[in-house]
Amino acid sequence: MATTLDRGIAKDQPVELSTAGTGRRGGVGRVLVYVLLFVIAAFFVLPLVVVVSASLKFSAEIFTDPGILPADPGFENYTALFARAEFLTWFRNSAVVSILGTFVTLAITSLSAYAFARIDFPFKNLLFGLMITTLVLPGVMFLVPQFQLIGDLGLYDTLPALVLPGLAGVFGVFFMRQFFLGLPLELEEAAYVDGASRLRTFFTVALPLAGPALATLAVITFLAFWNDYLWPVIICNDNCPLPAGLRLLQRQYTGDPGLVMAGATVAAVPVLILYLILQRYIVQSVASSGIKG
Amino acid sequence: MDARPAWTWLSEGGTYKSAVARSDGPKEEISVESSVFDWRAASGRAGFRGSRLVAIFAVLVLVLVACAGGDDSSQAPGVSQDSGASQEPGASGGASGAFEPPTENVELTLWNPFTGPDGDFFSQIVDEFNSATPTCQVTVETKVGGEYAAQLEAAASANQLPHVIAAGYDALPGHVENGIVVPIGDFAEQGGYGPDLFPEAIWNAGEWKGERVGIPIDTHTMNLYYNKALFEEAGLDPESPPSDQASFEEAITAIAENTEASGYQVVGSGPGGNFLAGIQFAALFYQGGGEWTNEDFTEVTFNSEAGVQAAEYLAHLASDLDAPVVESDAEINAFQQGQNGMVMSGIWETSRYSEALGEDLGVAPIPSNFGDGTWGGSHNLAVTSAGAEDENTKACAYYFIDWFSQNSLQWGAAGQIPARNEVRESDEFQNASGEGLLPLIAQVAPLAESVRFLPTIPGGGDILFGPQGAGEATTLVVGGSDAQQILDEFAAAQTDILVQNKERYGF
Amino acid sequence: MSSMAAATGGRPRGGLAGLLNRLAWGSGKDRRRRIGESPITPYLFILPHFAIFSVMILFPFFLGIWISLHDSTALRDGPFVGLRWYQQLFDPSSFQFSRFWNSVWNTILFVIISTPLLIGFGLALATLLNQRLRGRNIFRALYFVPWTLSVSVVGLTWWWMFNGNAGFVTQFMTDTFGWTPNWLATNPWAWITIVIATVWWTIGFNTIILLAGMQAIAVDLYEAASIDGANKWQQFKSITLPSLRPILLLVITLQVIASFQLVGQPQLMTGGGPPSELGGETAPVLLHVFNTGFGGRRELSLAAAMALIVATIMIVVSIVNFRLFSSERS
Repeated sequence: MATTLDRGIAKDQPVELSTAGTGRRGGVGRVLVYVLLFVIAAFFVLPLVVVVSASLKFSAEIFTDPGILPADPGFENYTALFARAEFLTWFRNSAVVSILGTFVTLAITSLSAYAFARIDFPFKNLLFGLMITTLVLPGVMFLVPQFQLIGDLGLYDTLPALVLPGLAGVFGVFFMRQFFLGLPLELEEAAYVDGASRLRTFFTVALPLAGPALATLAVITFLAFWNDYLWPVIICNDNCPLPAGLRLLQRQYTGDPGLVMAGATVAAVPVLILYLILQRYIVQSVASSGIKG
Repeated sequence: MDARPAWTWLSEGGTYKSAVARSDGPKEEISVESSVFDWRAASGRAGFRGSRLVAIFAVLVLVLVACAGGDDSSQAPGVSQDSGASQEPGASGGASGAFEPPTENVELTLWNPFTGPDGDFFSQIVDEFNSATPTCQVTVETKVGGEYAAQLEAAASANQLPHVIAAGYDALPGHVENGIVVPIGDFAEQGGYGPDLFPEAIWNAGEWKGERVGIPIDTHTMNLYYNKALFEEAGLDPESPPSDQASFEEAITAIAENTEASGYQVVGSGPGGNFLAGIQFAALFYQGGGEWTNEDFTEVTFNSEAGVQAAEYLAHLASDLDAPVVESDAEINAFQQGQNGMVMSGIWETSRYSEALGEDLGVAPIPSNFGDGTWGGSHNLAVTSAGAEDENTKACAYYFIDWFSQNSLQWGAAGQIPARNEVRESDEFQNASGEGLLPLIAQVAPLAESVRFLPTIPGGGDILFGPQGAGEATTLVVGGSDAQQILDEFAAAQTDILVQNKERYGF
Repeated sequence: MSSMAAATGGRPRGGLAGLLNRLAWGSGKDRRRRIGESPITPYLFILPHFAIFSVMILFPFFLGIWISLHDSTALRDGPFVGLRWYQQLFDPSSFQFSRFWNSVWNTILFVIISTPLLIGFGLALATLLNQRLRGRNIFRALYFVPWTLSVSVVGLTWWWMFNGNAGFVTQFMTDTFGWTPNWLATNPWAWITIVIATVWWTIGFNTIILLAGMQAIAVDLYEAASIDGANKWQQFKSITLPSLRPILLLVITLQVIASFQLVGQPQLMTGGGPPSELGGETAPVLLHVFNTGFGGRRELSLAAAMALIVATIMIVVSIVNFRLFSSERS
C-alpha cells in the first residue's frame, strides 16, 4: 500500500528542478545557495545560543553584559534553579506523564484500532464515525468542561489529570487502523486456522508487525505529551510539567531573566538530545504521520 | 503434518517475511511490503525494532512509576529553622486570656502566600508559638507555584484544605462563597475583637455580608521610596522627602535636571502595568476622596472627579514633567540601578531596595498630592471549613490567631505594617532602630490610619486590577486617551459586572 | 452487491431497515465474524480507549454546552441562565462584546498574515533543500529543531530575544541603527515579534512535509519540461505546485487551524499585548477565553460560551478552506 508520498519519504532523495535543457551549471549559484542555507541555519540556531548564553549570566549581569558571549559565565542560575524544589518536580512530572502517557496510548489505541480494522461488530461504523467526527472539533471547546470534570473527579493538580485528555485522543486509533487495514489478511487467517484467539492473533501477529507504525505513533505522542502547554497551565498548580512550570517561572522571576533562561535550557535539553539521536527518524515520523493525518 | 505455526520474522529493507505453516499444506512464504517508510535504514541503526521500542517504554514506565511512587515530594518547606534574626523577639506573648489552648494535642496546617523573605519571618513567629503551646502545633506551608486561589480550590475539591489560611482580604468573600472559609463571628465576640483594636478601614475589610470572616494581621501600603544620594546630588534635602504635590514635582524636575537619572518614571504598559499603574491611581483616588462604588453596590463610581483627577495626574507627570513612560518593572529596575530618583512601590519591595541601595534608601509615606491616603492591601488570618470541623481544631486555630495578632511585632520586621493598634503603639515598635526593616516600617506606620481598600466583595480587586479596570484605564490615559471618556466606559463595564455579581452572591 | 447479499444472507434491504442494518453490520465487505467467537470480544478491544474517549471527549462535548447555559464556577454548578452569555457576546452594547470580537479579529488578522508567510517560506525552504547538496540532511535537521520544542521554550526564547533592556535583537538594533522599537510593548512590533517566533517555531514542520511531497515528484517530468525550454520558475509553477496540491491543502489546513489556536507565544511574550480600549492588542481569542475562564474572574460559563462560538467559527473556516482548495482541483 505504498503511496506516492510514502515513496517520497522513503526515497528521501532530492528532486531538483532540472537544468537539463539549458546546459548551464550554476557554480556561482551553488555558492549562493550554501550561503543562504547557512544564513537560514543561523536564524534557527542563534536564538537557542542566545538563550544558553543568557542562562550563564547571573542576576544583574544579564543587563550589564548583553553580548552573546558572557564575560563571566557561571552556573549560578542553574544551581538556583535546582535549589527550587519545584523544578525537579516539573521535570519528573513531564517524564512520567510523557512516558506513561505514550505507553498507555500505544496500548489502548492499537487494541481499539485492531478491532475497528479487523472485526465486524454491531455499530462499528457508528462508533468509529463518532470518533472521527471529534477529530474535526477544535480543542478549545473542551477546555472548560474538561476542567470542571477533572475537578468533579477530585483530580485537580494531579498527574492523571495531565494524562487523561491525551489518552482520549482519536488520532492514534485512526493512524493505527490505517496501518492494520494495510496488513494482508493471510497472516491472521493463518493464525485463526491454527486456533489462535483474536487477542492472541493481535499479540502474536499484528502487534509485532506494527513495530514501525507504533514507533512513529510513539514519537508523535511523546512529543505531544512533553510539549503540551495550555491544558497543564489550566489544570496544574503544584504538580506542573515543564512547559507549565516554565510559565510559572517566568511570572515569578520576570526580573531575573537569566534564571528563566536556565529553566528554558533545561527544559529543551531532553528533547534536543532525543532529537539528536533519533533525528532522521523523528523527522520522517512526523512527515509520514502528517501526511496520513 | 506439523500443525503448529512457525512464525519467523525476518526483516530486510522494509520487507517482512513470514514463514507460515498451514495445517493443510506445505510451508508458504509470504512477504509483506511495509506500507510505512523504511525506518530501519532511515534511523541508520540496524535492528532497531519497533517492538523493542515498546519494550523499552515498558521498562521505563515501570522504573518511573517506582520512582514517582516512592518520591514523596512534599511542597512544604515546613517550619523555618532560621535563627539568624537580628531582631530581638518581639512583645513576648502571653495570651490575652480570652482564649485557651486546646486540651488535647492538635496539629494544624496553615497556608500562606508569602514566598519572599517575609515568609521566613512568619515562620519564625509560628516557631515561637509552637514552643510556647505544646498542645497546639502549627505547620506552615508557603504556597509557591500557581495561583493561591486556584490551589485552595483544588484542595477544597480534594478535601485537603489546610485549617487556617493567611490571605488577602479581597480573596475572602470568594472563598466564603466557595465554602473554603467559614465566618468566625464567635471568635470576634469571645476575644473582644472589634474596630477599636484596629484602624477602622482595616477592620472593616475583613467583613463579608455582615459577618466577620478574617482577622487582619497587617496592611501593606504603597509608599514613596527615594534615593538619598540622588537627592543630595540634585540639591534636595535627603532627610525631608516630598510631602505634597509641589515638593514632589519639584523633586522630579530637580533630579532630572541635575543628575543623569530620571526623577520619576511612569508605568504605561507591560504585564504588571494594570497593577502598578492601578495602585498609584488608587492612592491618588483615595486622596481625592473617591469611592469605588455607591452604597448599595449598584454602580461603580471610579469615573468621578477624583478618578479623573488621579488618572490625569499621572499623564501630567509624563507629558508636562517629561517623566519617561516605561514598561512595568522597568521603573523598579531603574530605581535599583540608581537611574531613577523616586518610585512609588508596595511595601514588599522594601527589602529588595534596601539590598540594592543600602544607606541611600529613603522611605516615606507617599506625598499627599490631593490629601491623605494611600493604597494598601491587608492580609487576614481566616479559618477554613476544615479547621472549623472539630472543636479542638477550632480551639487551636482561635488560640493561634489571637496569639499571632498580639505578637505581630515580628511581622513588622518582615516588612509589613502590623494591623493591631497596640503593637504599632508599643514602645518597641516606635523606637525600633538598627538593622533590618523594622525602623523603616515604623516610619510609614502612620499610613495604617489612612490606608483605604477596595470593597470587600467577590471581584472587588478586579474593579481596579482587572480587565477594563481603573488600572488599565490609567495606562491608557498615560498613553494619551481621554481620561473622562475611558473612565466612563470602563466604569460602565465594571458596573455591569458588579450588578451581575450582586445578583449571583446576594450582597 | 452480490458479496453484500451473500454477507447479509439475503436481499439488501432498503429504507430505514436497510440503513440500520448497514449501520450495524457495515457493508459486509470485510466481514470477519468467526464461528465460536464471543460477540463481546471486539467491544473489549475497543473498551479501554472508548471508555476514556467517552468520559474525556464525548461527555465534555455536551457538558460544555450545558455549562454555557448556566452560571457555573469551578466548585459548584450555578443556576440555569439560558442564552445569557451568548446574548452578551452578540450584543454590541455589552462590555463583553467588544473584548471578545476584538480578540477574534486579532486572531483572524494573525491567520491572514502568518499563513502565507508560513506556507511561502516553507515552500521556499523546501525548494532550497530539494537539491543535491552536501550536508543537505544536516541543514534539514537544523531547520526542524525548533519544532520539537514546546511553545513555552519558544515563547521564552523570543521573549528574551526581544527584551527591551538587553535582548539580542534590541541590542543589535541599537548597536547597528542606533534605534530600536519597543518590541514587546507597542504595535505593530508586538505582532511582528509573535509572527517571527511562530515562523521560527513551525516552519520546520511545513518544510518537511512539503519537501517529502516534492521528493515524490518524478524527475523525468522536470527533465522533460526543461528540455522543452521551461526555466526553473516555470517548472516550479507548472510541475511542482500542481503536484503538491493535495499536500498544500493539508499543510494550509493544518496551519490555519494551528494559527487559530495561537496562545502560548502572546501569553509568554507580550502578555496579550499593549492594552487598548478593546482589550489587549495582541490577545488572540484562545488567550481571551483562557483569561476569562481561568484568569482572575474565573467566569467558566462565559468562557464556555466563547469557546463554543470560536469552535464553530473554526469548523466553518476549515470547511471553507477545504472546499476552496479541493474544488480548484481539475
